[in-house]
Amino acid sequence: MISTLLSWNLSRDIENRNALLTKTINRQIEEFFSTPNLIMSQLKGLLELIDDIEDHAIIDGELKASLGNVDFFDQVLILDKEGVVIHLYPFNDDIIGNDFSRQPLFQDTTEKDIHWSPVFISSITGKPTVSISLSFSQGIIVGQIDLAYLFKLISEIEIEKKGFAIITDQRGTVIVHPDNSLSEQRVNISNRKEVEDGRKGIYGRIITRWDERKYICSSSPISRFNWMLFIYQDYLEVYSLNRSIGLTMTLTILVALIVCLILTRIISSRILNPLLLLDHATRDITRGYYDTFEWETSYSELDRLAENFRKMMLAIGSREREIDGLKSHLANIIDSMPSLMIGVDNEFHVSLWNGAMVKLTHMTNDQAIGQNVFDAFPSLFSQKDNIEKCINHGLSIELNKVRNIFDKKEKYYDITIYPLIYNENRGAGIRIDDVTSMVNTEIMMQQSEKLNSLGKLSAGISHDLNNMLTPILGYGELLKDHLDKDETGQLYSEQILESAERARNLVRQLLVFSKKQNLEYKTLDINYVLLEFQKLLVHSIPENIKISFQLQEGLRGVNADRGQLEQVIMNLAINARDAMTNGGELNISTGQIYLNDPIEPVWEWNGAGYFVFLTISDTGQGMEPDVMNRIFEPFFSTKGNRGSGLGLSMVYGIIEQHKGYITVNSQDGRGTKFSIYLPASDNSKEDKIEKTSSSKSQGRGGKLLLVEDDESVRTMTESYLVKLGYQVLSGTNGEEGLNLFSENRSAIKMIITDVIMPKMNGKEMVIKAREFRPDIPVLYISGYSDNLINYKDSLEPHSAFLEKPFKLDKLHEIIRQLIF
Amino acid sequence: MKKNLPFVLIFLVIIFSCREKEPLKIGFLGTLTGSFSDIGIASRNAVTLAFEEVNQSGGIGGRPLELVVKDDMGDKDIAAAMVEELLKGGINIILGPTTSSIALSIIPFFSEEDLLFISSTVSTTELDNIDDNHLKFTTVSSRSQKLTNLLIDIEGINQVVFLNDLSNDSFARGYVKTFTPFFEKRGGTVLPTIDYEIDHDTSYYEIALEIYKLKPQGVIFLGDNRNSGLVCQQLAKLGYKGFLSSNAMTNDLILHGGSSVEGLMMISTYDPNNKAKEFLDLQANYRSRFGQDMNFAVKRNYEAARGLIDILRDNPGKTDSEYLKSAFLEKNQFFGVQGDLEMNEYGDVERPMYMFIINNGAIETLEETI
Repeated sequence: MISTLLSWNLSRDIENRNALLTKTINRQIEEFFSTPNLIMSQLKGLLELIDDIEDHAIIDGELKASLGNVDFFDQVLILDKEGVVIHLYPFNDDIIGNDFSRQPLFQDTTEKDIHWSPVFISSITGKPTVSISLSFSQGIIVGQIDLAYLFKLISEIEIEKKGFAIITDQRGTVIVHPDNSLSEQRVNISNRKEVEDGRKGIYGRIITRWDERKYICSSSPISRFNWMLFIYQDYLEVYSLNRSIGLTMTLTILVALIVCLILTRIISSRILNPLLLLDHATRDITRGYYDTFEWETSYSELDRLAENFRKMMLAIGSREREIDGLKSHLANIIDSMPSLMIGVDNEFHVSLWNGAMVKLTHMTNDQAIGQNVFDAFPSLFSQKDNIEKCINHGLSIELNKVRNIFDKKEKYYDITIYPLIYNENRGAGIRIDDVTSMVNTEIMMQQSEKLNSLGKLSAGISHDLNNMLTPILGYGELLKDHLDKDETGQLYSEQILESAERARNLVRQLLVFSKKQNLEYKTLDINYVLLEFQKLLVHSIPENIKISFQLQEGLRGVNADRGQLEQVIMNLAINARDAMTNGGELNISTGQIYLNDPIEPVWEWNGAGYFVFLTISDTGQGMEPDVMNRIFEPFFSTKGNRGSGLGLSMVYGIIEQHKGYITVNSQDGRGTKFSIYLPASDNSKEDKIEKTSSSKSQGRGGKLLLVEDDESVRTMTESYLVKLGYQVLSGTNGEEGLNLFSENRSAIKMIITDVIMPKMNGKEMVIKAREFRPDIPVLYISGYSDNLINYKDSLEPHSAFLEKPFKLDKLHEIIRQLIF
Repeated sequence: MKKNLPFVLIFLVIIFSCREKEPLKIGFLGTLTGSFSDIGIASRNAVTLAFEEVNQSGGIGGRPLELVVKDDMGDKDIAAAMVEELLKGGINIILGPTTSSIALSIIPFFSEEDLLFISSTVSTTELDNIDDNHLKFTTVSSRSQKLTNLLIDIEGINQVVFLNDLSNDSFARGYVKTFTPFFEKRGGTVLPTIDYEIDHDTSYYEIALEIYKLKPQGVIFLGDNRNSGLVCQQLAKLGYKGFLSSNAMTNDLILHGGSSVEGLMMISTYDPNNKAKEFLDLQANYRSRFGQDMNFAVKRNYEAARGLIDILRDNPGKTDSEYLKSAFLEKNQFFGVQGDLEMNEYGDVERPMYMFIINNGAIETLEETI
């Protein structure tokens, strides 16, 4: 500001000074040329008075008188009207008579005005010259003026130390310059801006250069000659004061700036640096570094801010770590879930792909993410409509037990498609669970319950049927004996007995299925049983079926009823035979296994232990799953009229009653395999089977107490016993029986009693009776299976049990065993 | 500081890019004062004009041309001193000199290794067809033939006298020496040359009288045009009616000779009435720049300067005189305002010749060819 003001003042000063200088020079030039002007005018006046211009004597005299004391004319010429020199001062004979008509000074001089010529090189002196010419009546007077005076004038002007002035003619040719050679060499400087402007009539002040030096040039016209005056002032000189002030000010500003910088540095180290630290810390937070904050003690306010900031950093860090941990945990959960989990966006691009998917498709997470889900997992295409529905309408869709999603019919899947919204984008989550085992378990459970219900039903029916069949069989046999000699009567009674026998077998099979039959457990070697049974088996199987045995040696024993076990083997073998109508292979194998857990979830598990297993497999037609689910149901048969539908039901019942398990594997067209697992016994094996005599014989006689609430059974039994030679005391319930026992306490050899009876049951009655005769033999007879096992398992000494309906010879045999 | 570095660099780049490139300095040596200064000044002006034109269009490869002018004042010693001065200033290309006399006086410089002279008005035959570091944009070799034809065939003159300005003695002597055999071969007689020297005491009358006494059929001026004009004035006053001719063709002859030079005939490579566009442009530009009419010296020097400019443009960065001379000789075809010029193997330019006569204070071109 100050500098500008100074500059402005200085400029004004220069202009004023230049104006004064120009005025002075102009005045001096004017003065310089005013004298020749005057003299020439006087001369003109004189010449006008002279009649004969060629009169040398008069003219020369006049010229000498007028010009004798004047030193600035180089030459004064008088030309006639043709331009020929007629007089010359100082006189030079050579010039007299010369023709000046071609010279501009002659051509440009008019009659009225005084003419000043441009500068030219004088033909007389050979130097830059200017001429003043006036016309008079007989010719022209020309005065040639040496410009040396002007040179002197200009040279003497002091313009600072390095300044100078120049005069040029209107063409820009130098007339006067401190370096005289420029004028002598007629240097034209019209290419200089200031001269070019001057020629156009533009004068003023410009900055220019002359010989590498910078000048302020002020121009002005010298109007008399159309000349131009240029004053050059050395720029540095002119502005030296200004520059020194400017320099001082610049230095001052620089010093101030440096001081400011130092102060700023000091302040910034206390304020800015801490803020920068905070800035760095903020960036660190952005990059996820939370433990990098370092603080230098600053102002207390900033220290507090920093402390809070540090706490905030640690809190954010800890929170982020928690979130990361949670994220990772969630990711692990999702990854480790057995469910197949897929996330898709609204364009079906995969956004989530869990570990189960990677395992299934062998496609890594990175490969799957972003791919079209149906390209990545084509099996899902069947669900495209559901996924679309879920994304577009936000509906959750659950599909249960879908069977054919991966083209594996034996597998069941639950598919759940649920809407996902993340970052305002719609998508869907798809979860696929393999529920095959659950479905199978469900089916087995249903089957198991069904079998249990059927078992109960069978047990109930069996009891009543047994009570009905017992007299039929008993009286049938009595009738047969009675009609000893009547052949027709024999035949009829045999038909009755045969039908009753079939009915009894049927009831027995039902009881086997309902696990209510009476079993005789012995510790058996299953391999031995199989080898013994082998002969019978071979007879039952046609030759086009190859039988092979793989029996593992050293098996543990099993607690089993041998007959029942043989029944199981036979039933399974016969089924296998029927499945291989065109021949095949029947494989029977045994083995031993320690089971920690049940092989099938539906097993009523009794705890871990050793099991002996028996496997019977065929290469037959196999079974459809629907058939396989029903094979253990009573009366379910695929053999039409040929089968009773009770074979596998019995197998099932027998194995259940042995606390064993049975599994079946079958595929349509690939055969069937039954595996039976029986708990291994700790006892040593008993291989031999007791043979019992079934021969008929007479009774030994004596009193027997018979207590039976069913009249037909009681009557039939009493009749048979009487027939055998016993005296029979009959009672219809426990009380009555006990009374009869009290009355004949010592005579009664044995008590034969039903178990379930009104008023007092058989068991209670026996307990009371044995208070008097603890060793009295007792035979329980019952067709009500629920109690059979209980009795059988806990029979006191001298006691036996006979299941209704019974054969009479069996009854007789037991009585004999007990009494004797 | 690091943050400020780019700004500092930008600042420095601006500063340096603002700095003007170093000018390419070319010397000029000419007679700018005294006799023959009309030719010298015209030569300098012409070169100045050519340089100003090229500078306005960006210079040579961005470098402006600077003409360093030296006035030899027609003095041999001064001329040699000026050449030395130019050499000291690191200048090795010199346009000039402008007179044959000076050219012959500085011959030793023509064989300097790193120095190249390009002259346009040096017309002494003594320097014709010499392989040196002096390229001439003019030659007089064919002029003697043409002048003989003019004198004998057209004007019927067989006796002439030469007027020799001693300040350019070399040129005149060379001229006469070359001309004489041609003229004499055709039966002409060359009278002994009249020498004169211009100083304060010079009497043009006496010079004219000396000529007059010889009664030559023709007077041929070989000197400065101002002096020639003034001698013509005296001859006219003496009543000489013979044939006049001058070697140089400038307006000074008419200015100072007045009516006495009416009918004077000249042979020149310069046709002031040429209508070629390039010539008219040069004429207009010269007048605009210097407020004067151009002459032959302007034309030749302008063409020589243009030739140099073309060579410098074609060979950027080259200032080695030997190299540039080779480039000149190799190029051999140069721009001329009145038609292209051809340079021979010695660096001399051949030009067509024209015939002129002064009529009513103006130079007229004669249609006749010689």
